[in-house]
Amino acid sequence: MWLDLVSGLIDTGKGYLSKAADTTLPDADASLLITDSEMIANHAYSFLQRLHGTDAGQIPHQIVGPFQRWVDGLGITNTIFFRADHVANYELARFDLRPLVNNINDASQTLIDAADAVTWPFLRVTVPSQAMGMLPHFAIVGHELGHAIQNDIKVDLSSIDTATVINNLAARLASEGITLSTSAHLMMTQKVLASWVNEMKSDAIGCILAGPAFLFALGAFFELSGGGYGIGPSHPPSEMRRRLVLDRLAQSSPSQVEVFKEMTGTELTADLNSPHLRPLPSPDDLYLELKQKHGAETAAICVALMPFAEAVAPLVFDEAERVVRAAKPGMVYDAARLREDLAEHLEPLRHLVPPIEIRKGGAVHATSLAGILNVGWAGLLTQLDRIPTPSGVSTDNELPAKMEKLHELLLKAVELSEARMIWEEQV
Amino acid sequence: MSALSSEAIRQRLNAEDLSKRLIVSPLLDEASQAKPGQAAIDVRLGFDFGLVSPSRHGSIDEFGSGDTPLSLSTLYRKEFVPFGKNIVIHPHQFLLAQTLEYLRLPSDLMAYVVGRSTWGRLGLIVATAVGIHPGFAGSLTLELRNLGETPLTLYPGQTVAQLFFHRVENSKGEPSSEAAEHAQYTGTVDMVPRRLSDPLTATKLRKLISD
Repeated sequence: MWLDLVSGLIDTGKGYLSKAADTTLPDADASLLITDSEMIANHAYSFLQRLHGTDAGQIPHQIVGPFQRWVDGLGITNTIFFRADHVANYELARFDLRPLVNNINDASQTLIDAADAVTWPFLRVTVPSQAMGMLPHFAIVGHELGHAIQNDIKVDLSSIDTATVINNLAARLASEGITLSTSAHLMMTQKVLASWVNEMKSDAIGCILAGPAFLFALGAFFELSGGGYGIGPSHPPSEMRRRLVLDRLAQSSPSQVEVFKEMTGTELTADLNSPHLRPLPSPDDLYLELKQKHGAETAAICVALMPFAEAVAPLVFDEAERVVRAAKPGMVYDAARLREDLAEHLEPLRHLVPPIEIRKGGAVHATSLAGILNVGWAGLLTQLDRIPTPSGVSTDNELPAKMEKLHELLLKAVELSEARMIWEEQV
Repeated sequence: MSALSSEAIRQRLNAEDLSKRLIVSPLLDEASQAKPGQAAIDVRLGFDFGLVSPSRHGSIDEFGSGDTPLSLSTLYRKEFVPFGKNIVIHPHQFLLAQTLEYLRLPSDLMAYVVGRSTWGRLGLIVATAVGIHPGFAGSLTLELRNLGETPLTLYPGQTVAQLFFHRVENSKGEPSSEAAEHAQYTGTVDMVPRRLSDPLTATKLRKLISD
């Protein structure tokens, strides 16, 4: 569809050039048409640039179909594509090109048709290439899809005590000789809180879609992102986010944390896949560090909001789960599914069998993407030493060779489980 | 040497013991792919194809570049064909394909892959390296060649070949447990071959050539 827009723009530009070739046209008008044509060509080129990283060499084509199932299941109707690029962060970008298309005079029919075919805004999910060495990292895409539906997750914060936040904020500001300005500081606080809650909503969606796989991918991403605490006006601290996800996974009985331990023999802790994440210092020390980067007021707001964010988290996760259940109950990844996936696939994975499908009581069904991601992480974190070393690999290269093999098997599982789903949908 | 019946094949597919379990996955329509009365499983055409590029070399010479091993992957261009799309194999064209199914043989079974006769009658040869060793795990590579006079349009998901299974016994006539765990293709999902000769053979031949 994106390429159709590019083609439509090029057709429009060619139409301008054809008109400019009319010898009866005054030179000034012809010149204007040529200039406009160049401008449209520039737009076409910039559209193409936004596709960077979407080719199969960058993002495994096998993963796109299963991601689209997540998109559809969440009720996201926007046209969407996925790409990988050498960028620091995962990102959900929104493009609404209707104003541009509508402002072009004499747009080609191909451009009009292409624009009509898109459900705007066009969404683009970017995955940082550095995180793409292993398929399980893709679990974090659930977070980005959470951003696409964050406005549907409406959290009532009225029951949460805000007085403590204001008091803490006032005290911190007073220590800097700043008087709390109720309206201005409250507005700043609300803005930071809204950003934090949006991040928590998206974490909740990732956790609900992918279970422990999301925690592992999130922790790995935090570590890859550098040595900071992750806290700022746009994001709550990384350590807190990781813990909140773990808290959610530890809910219910048996919980996903318990099932993971039972099936793998390994304790599912917050830092299982991110042991080097910098722990948060005391609030006072954190404030001093944040103050250097963001200034006293923003730093004070961030520190004051931390306990508030923790109190809000259960409401956010509950509401996110309610929204997902309302959209498609089968998308909620829970302890029962984790148990089934690990019981069915973990041992075979050690014998190089990809987690493609589950045989149960004579019936067979495809393994979900969430299941594959969880089996992948469980294999990576707890079974890698038991996966056979590919032949011809030296001792020094055993670990990367095994990881590469695991990645290949998981990609094959994604491809073939999707094939089963597509096949069964044909009636 | 006895072949497994469809009943025996089904038992192996559902074996609780992983060391005895035969894995052919996914079997999109198990009832028709492992029909009662036939001693084989039908397998389907997968999504990945390897088209042989016109070689830049005068011949494919494993030792033509001195000590540098020949990279066989440079001989192929990979093509992904999703469900609903097709690829045409022209008369006398050669290309690699994969089975849709991932296969893992237990240590006491080997298999032969044989083209379906219907395709054969249209001129399509499906496999030349037909033996699959015990312990093999991976996607099967098919070597397709159109010996007919008419282009053939191939669709992923078409049943294209059959797998016949045989028991492998040790010297005492018992089921073998000597799985080829470290075979070259164990767990492979890539259809492009890695090497022609094993390292020892390659070293000796290289020495003979250089002398």
